[in-house]
This record gives sequence, structure tokens and C-alpha cells, in this order.
Amino acid sequence: MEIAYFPGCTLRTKAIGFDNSVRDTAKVFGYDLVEVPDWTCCGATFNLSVDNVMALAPPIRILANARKLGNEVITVCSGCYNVLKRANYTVRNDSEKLAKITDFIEMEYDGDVEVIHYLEFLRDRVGYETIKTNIKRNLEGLKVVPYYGCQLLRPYDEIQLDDPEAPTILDEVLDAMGCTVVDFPHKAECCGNFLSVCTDLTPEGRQAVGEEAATAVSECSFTILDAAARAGADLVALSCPLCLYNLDVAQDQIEKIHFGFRKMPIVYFSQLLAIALGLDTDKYALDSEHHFVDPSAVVRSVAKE
Amino acid sequence: MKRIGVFVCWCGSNIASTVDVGRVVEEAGKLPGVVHAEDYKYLCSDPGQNIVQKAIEDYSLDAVVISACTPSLHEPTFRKAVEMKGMNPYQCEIANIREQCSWVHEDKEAATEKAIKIIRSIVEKVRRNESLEPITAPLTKRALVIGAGISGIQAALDIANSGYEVLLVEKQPSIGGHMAQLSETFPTLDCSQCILTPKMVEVSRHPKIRLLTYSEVLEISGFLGNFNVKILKKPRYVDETLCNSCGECSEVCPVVVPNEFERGLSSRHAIYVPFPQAVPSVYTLDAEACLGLFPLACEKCSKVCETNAINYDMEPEIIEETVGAVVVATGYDLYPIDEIKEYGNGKIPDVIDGLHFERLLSASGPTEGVVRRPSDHKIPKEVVFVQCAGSRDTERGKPYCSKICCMYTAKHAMLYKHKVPDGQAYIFYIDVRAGGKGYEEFYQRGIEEDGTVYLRGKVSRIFQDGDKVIVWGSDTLTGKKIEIAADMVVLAAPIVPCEGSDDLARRLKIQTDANGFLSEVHPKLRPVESITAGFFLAGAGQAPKDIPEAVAQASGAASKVVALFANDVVEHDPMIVGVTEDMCSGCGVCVGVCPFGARELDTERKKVKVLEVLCEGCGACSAACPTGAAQQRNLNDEQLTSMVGATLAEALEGSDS
Repeated sequence: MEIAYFPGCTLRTKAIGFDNSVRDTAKVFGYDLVEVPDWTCCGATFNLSVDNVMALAPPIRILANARKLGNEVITVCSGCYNVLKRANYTVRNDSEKLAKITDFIEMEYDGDVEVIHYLEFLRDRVGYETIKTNIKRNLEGLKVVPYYGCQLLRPYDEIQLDDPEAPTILDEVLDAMGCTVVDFPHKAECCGNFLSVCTDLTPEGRQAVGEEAATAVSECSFTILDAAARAGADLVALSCPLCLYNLDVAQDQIEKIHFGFRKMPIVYFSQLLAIALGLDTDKYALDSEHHFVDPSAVVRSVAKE
Repeated sequence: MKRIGVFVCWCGSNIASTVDVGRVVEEAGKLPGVVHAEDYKYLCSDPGQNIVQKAIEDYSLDAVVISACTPSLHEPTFRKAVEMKGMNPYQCEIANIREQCSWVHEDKEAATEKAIKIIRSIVEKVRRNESLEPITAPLTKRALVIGAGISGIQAALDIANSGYEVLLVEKQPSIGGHMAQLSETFPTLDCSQCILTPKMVEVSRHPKIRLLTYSEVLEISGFLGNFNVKILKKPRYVDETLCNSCGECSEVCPVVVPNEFERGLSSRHAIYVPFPQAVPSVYTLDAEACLGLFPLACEKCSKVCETNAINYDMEPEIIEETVGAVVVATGYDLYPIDEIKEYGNGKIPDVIDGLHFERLLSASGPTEGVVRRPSDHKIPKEVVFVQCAGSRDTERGKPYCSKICCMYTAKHAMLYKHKVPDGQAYIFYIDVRAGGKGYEEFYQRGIEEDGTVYLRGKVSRIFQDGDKVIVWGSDTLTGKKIEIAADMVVLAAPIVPCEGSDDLARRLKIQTDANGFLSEVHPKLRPVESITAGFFLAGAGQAPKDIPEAVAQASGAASKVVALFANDVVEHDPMIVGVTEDMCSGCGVCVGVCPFGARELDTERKKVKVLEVLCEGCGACSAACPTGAAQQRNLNDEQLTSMVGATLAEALEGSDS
């Protein structure tokens, strides 16, 4: 069965492993993810200004294009999901704005496309039982903390995916794929990425932006990673390229400040799903080229046939 | 023709500034049937009423139109005034020229014209008004009180002490409610049980009170003065008359379940008394917890019972009674803390609610009054109290203020410090609301003498870290982020209506507000009466309130019941909708639309019969009746047509020409 799919920019570059693993795992369950024709960047952040018509034009254009393939579109990057879902919510509740945008993009759209996160798809469409019956590799003992971040859950009224304070959907999906899910208190804490996108966390960059801003970001990440480590986790699974970058890149710096800090690989949940479903682990960018903290050792430890 | 008097009120400048009162009087005087018209600055004043009364004599008036404010304010005033002069009160009508005219208009000329039209239409109505007498019905001088917490107990005692019978129904095995769970009470720190139990004993010994515990009200039908009540008495499998509460049954019972009275902090057996001072002092066998009654699985309790009080064949019993009035005192529950996701999701053992903490403080509690935290029974040295943990939260919790938390939290911190002198209490708050006699002084004492640290700000997250409970919050006075590694956290969770009270309200056909609390008729002037006649409200089921307020409201409700019982009959407004039998085709449409069950179809005679005392005169049947047989008294079709005609007279003339 074919379903419209919006990968988003990051998934075609940095997060290529995320993209591949989503497409391939969907295929295992019998779904073909078809790219939305002529897609562009969604805007990356939801614009909160009162007159955000211009900012809404790209996501609505994406949805209008998705409409050509059906009345639903799957996306997986938390940022894209947040922007598409909120843009959709906005125009569904503001016909004037919708008319202005459709006029501007010269396309028809009436708000009737459902934006579905891949986690939601796995829960509601594929079903946990189907995931379990397709497991080829045993991930039991791989201690994973589910990390949701902000964009996947908030604001609740507009997103309504899961409880924003005590979410469970990622826990359930990881559990269905056989991981040992480790509970920890900072599942839905902010990783600080909005600060990190306007700073530069590479060693050269740090000097340019100043230590204070850089430290603020790394402290956010430290709180999360430290709690995960103390809960006994081997790695963090998430669905947001920005969170991954932030938690990943900060670890060098954290190690310098916090004595005894243990580095922890950060991966996308779908990469783990691909492993669990017995797919070729080399295909999903689980390497030092795409990660600051190399996940390959952990992957190798569980990817035995 | 009737001799009608029209009186126009200035209401100071409320009416007179927008309506030309002089012209209105002049025009009113010309209306058919009007023999006298005059104006006065404040008609509702004593001199104003005297003017009306004098005019009735001087001009031999048969009917009166008062042109003033809304009838919901002064209709009773003027009806009483005309009655004193021998006029039937239903010959007095109010023309509302304030709320419906002067207050909502600015153009004086147009407003004056409108006022004249309003008066003209009421004059038309009153010309055809009948003289009516109140409908009377017998009155059963027995009250039902639902809920036997402190409010229900107080209401029952007050009514019973006035000499009337009371049926007191409580769904739990014992009376006492939440007050029985409290340790000490603010602001005097007297022991809650010590002041409550004498009242509980008085209830159990009172000759006028029939106590039904472990019972629930199923249904109430009838009307003010004559309610038929159906009560379910659940089987407690222990004969109340035989049980001597020796407790041997409980000792041999092999079942252990969480003790609700102790909020799950300790356990009880399947056969139990909730607490030592329970009233009635009788054991109850919890059939759900028991190893098995059908068929019998254990029988240990009955074997040791010396008085043979245990009866496994006890059946649920339906008790039917007639009462004249009902006091609803269903009380409150605390909003479950596992619904407050950011504060630990109910999963952290050392994050508890206010009632848990009361039990930890209580000398009769599971720790015998030593403050020990639930997880490892250690004495907590740093305790964080979080106020408004879900209250005043429009997004995720309850929008209202739970009112009692500021004071009980201040008390908690104080009592904690008395019991753990080397401990430290922190209180996160939004505002401290200490309005009440001695409350502000009490709260100040906590800060000054017991070193309670108040932090003004919300708590953002609470989570477990090792054996500590970490509290993240902010201090909005210093602008600093705060992190406290506490040993225990007490959440002041919202006060919500007692579980099942919305369901009960539906069965009783009484109203609740958006948050499920019982609705009063008027928030200021009729705070203890339900909108449905004959139902009175007491305690926290109506809104969050503390003990003094709950007791005061209970006494208020009781005095309303007693005032009602001082009459020999109940009087009912005669403005009902009758049946003109000649016109009634017996279609029964009106029976279906009546929200009060006041209309019945006599299938043999094919005529509708009206149960007059049930009719509230809403007019739904009148509108639905296809033949015009259902006519509202003093607002019949003829009156309505003439009133519309009078209002539209100029418009109709205009269209003719």
C-alpha cells in the first residue's frame, strides 16, 4: 500500500540513516512510502508571529502537494511534524488565513490532509503485535532511554500525540521491538537545541559565540544524558534530528566539565527498528561519520544474526 | 371594566435619565381601564409603597401596574403591598422599564416610546388577569440528609434538635467523612477527631435521627414537601444489632488489602472497621476483598464470632421513605495525583497528597503520628509542599482555587516542624490566601516561629533521583531557578466533588456547575438552596470549603429546612398551565414535553390531567398544545395576543394606512 511521505531536508542529508530506516521498515510491514511531489523545506520552526502567513506558505504547500497522493502524509522528523501539524491546525481554524495562503501558493487545499508521525503509524496502523511478529534480531538487554524532546509533544492542544508530561508512545514502540526500555525523568525536557542552532558548538565555533551560551546548551544536554546514564541506559533513542545533533555534539564538552561523564550514543528509533527487523545494519548510517559519539560498537553487540 | 392604576418609578436616575417619566405617566393615564397614573422617585421605598396603597383606596383600584425594575427583584414587594390593601396579589404586575429599556438605550425619545409600549402591553395583560390563590400540598416533616461528613452531621443534628425526624444516609461503613481523617485543624490546632467524635456519638444516639450507613440514595421522586426516596442498603454481612465490635473476626481474616481510610498507607482485612471511633461501631465485610461468599471460601470470621453476628446470606435491601426536604452534603475528594503527570505521575512513593500527610501526622495514623515517608519509613528531613498542584491551572488541571490548601499546607509545615524539629519545610505557592478569622496570624506564625520557607513560584517538575525526590521550581521573587533534593513532597491537589456525586445529582435532578460542584440558586443571596425546590446544599460538595464554612453552611441549610417545616402545608405558585377539557383532544403531546412530569394522560377519558403542585409554569406544554387547551394562568393566548397587539399598535396602524 502506498502512503505519502514527507522526509524533510535533514533526512536527506545528515539524518540519511533516519530516512532509509523509516522507508525500509515501513516496507517490511507492507507500506510503500511515496515522497510528496515537489516538496520543500517545511520552515523548520513554527512561526509564532501574529501575521505568519508567509511562514505558513511552505508547510501548506507541502500538504497541498501531499493531497495529490491521498488524505494523509507520514513524517518522522519531530520538527517537520510539529510545523506541518500546527500549520494544518492553524488553517483548519482560520479560513481567512487559509484563503490567503492558497491564493498565494496558487494551489487548492482545504485542510483535509492528516499529518501522521511514523510513531503514530506504528502504533495505530501497523500495531505492536505486527512489529513483534516481524522481529528477527533479539534486542533484549539493550538498555534504551526513550527521549521525546519538545516538538513531538507540544503544544498539546495542537499536537495531541501523547501526554506532554508523561508520554509513552516511544516507550511502547521500543518495547514492541524488543529493547529493554529504561524509564528516566527527563523524557520530555528540552535539550536546548533552540540555543544550539544559533550558536556553534564545534570547538572553533565555541570561541566565536562565547563560552556562556555554549555551556548553557551543554548543561541542558548533560542533565538529560546524566540521568539516562544513571538510569543504566546504553543509548538514547529519539525522533528529532535537532535533538540528536545537540545531545551528540555536546558530549565532548560535557566530558571536559563533568568528571566521570560516560559518553552515550544517540540514535533514531527507526534505526533500532531496522536492526530488530533483521535489515542490513550497514545501510543506516550508524557510524562515526553521521554521529559524534559512534554507535557502531553498540550496534555490533546486538546485530548478531 | 377593571379600574387600573399605573405607577412609574424613576429609580433615581436609573430610569428617569433615559425615560421621560412625565410623558410616560401622561400617556399611561390615557390607556383603556387606567383610572390613575403617577410617578415617584423610588417606588420600592416605604413612602413609594404607601403611595400605591393609598391610591388603591382613593381610586378604588382593582389592579395595579408597577413600571420599574425587573420582576425578579421587587415583584414580591409590591404584591405584598397590594395584598395588605385587600387586593389579590396576582392583580399586580410589573412592567420592566429599567433592565429592558432605560439601561439598554441612550436615545431618550425612543426609550420613552418603548417604555410606553411596555406599560401598554402590561396594562392589556392585567386587564384580563384572574385573581389566583396559591396551590397547597401536604408537607412531610421529615428530612433526608445525604452524606454524613461534618456538614451532613451538623445539618442532621440541627434539624433533629428542632424536633423533626432525619434520615441520614452515608455510603461508607462509618460516618465522619474526611474530617475523621484529619490530624489537627487550623488555625487552632485542635485535634480533629476530638472535636468530631462527640458529634458522631450524638448522631448515633439521637432519637430523631435514623442512620443508614453503607447505603446509597438510588432515586428521589415527588416534589417539595413530598419526596419519595429509594435507598439501597448494601449488605455488610454483619448484623448491626448483634456485632459487639470485639474485632476477633478481623484478626483471623487472611485477606489483606489497602486501607482506604489510611489512603493506602497501611492495610486492613476484608472484614474491618474503618477506624476505632467508627459510628456505627460495627464490622463490615468487604465482599469484593473477601476470598469468596458465593460459594463460601473461608468462613474463618463467622467461626470466631461469639455473637453470631456474621450472616453471609444478607441481601441488599431497598428502603423507601417519604421526606419533605433533602440536604445534599456529598462532600469532596482530592484530585488523584497520578493525573498530575509533571509531578511524578503518581509513580514516586514519596510524593503524596495532603490527606496522606494528615494520616502521617495523626496520632491514630499508620505511623502513630511519627512523620515517616512511605518508601523506606525514614523520617524525612527536607519536605517540599506544593500548593496549587493542579488548582488554578486552566490548561491541565482545575481552573478554580481549592481554597483550603493555603491554610492546611501552612498547618502541615508547622506540624511537621513540631514533630521533626531538625527538619525543614519548603512551601511553593502562587499567592497565600489566608482570608479567615485568625488565618493570617496562623500563617505568619508558621514563618516566624517554625521557620517555614515560602518560595513564590510554580514547580515545573518532580522526579526521583536515588532516594531523593528532586523538585525543580522557580522563585519568581529572586528570578532564580530552584532545585531542592527533598526527602518527601506533599502535593496540595485540587478539591473535586466527591466521586459519584455527578451521578447522584443526575438521579436527584439537581444541577451542577462546569466543575461538577452542586449549583446554588444565587451565589450571594441564596447560597444554601439548590435550584430545584426542596433540595438544600451543605459542605464541600457545593464548592471547596474548610470546616468552619462547611458547618456554617450546614446550619444554614438546616435552618432553611426547619423554616419550611414550620408550615403545615407547602404553597405552590398558582401560575400554572391547566387544561381546558373541552378543547383537549387527548393527544398527549404536552405529557412528553413537560420537564417536571406534571402532566398525565387519562387514557380512558382521553383528557390530560395536571398535577398542579409539580407544574412550574414553564409553558412548554402551552407552546406544544395543538388545540390551545393548555393555557397558562394569567398568560393565556388571549392575553398574549392583546399584549402583542398593544405593543405593535402603531406599527399595525401604519401598515393599514
